[in-house]
Amino acid sequence: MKNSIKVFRAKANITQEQLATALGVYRQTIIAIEKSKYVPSLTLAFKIARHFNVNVEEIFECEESDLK
Amino acid sequence: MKQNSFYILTGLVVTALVGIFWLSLEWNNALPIQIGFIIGVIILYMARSRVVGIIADERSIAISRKAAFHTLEILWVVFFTFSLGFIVWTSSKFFGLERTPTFRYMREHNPMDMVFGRPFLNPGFIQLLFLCMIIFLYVGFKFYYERKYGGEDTDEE
Repeated sequence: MKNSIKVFRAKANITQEQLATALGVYRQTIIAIEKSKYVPSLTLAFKIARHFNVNVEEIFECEESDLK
Repeated sequence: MKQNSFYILTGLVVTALVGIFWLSLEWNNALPIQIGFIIGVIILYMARSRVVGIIADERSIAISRKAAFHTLEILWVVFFTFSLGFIVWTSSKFFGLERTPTFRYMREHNPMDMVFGRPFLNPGFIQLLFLCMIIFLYVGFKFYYERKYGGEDTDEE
């Protein structure tokens, strides 16, 4: 599952650590999500979207391979 | 209590338990390590409940769950296999198999016969060893899933 957290983070000018603190997770989790090594739960995905004031679909992109 | 203080306390408790384990072996007495282990676990549980600022990180929880699940998966297969073997070992006569050379050999080395100084020949000891190996298996799986789910702390700000 692709995501553009890094882009939104850059736009908001916040670090991974700041985003992690705001969301109540470890920085490693943000790193893992940004690298698409870990797919977050729906709750965390919505938290991330709300943090940047956008819809979930604007940050996370579901690929065909994810649905198989 | 801060989280780092808890980690230091955990280290101290584990070190103390290793020492007590060694003493138990020297004294040939199981009670010190058994009582010590229970006290150690109680201390750590009580200390953990007083740690402030714990982050309920979902990735860490997911990794712990996966590690625990796979540890149990492997453990039950190995443990069950051994247990099945011991059932055959002890009850081959009942099934009329006692004349088979393998079973005859096994019957001559009954699991109830403790060979002192050669504990690895004792099936009960091997079973207990497997149980104690859980913790190493679990830690191994934790490391594996930490790597798989991108735990490495690379800086790319």
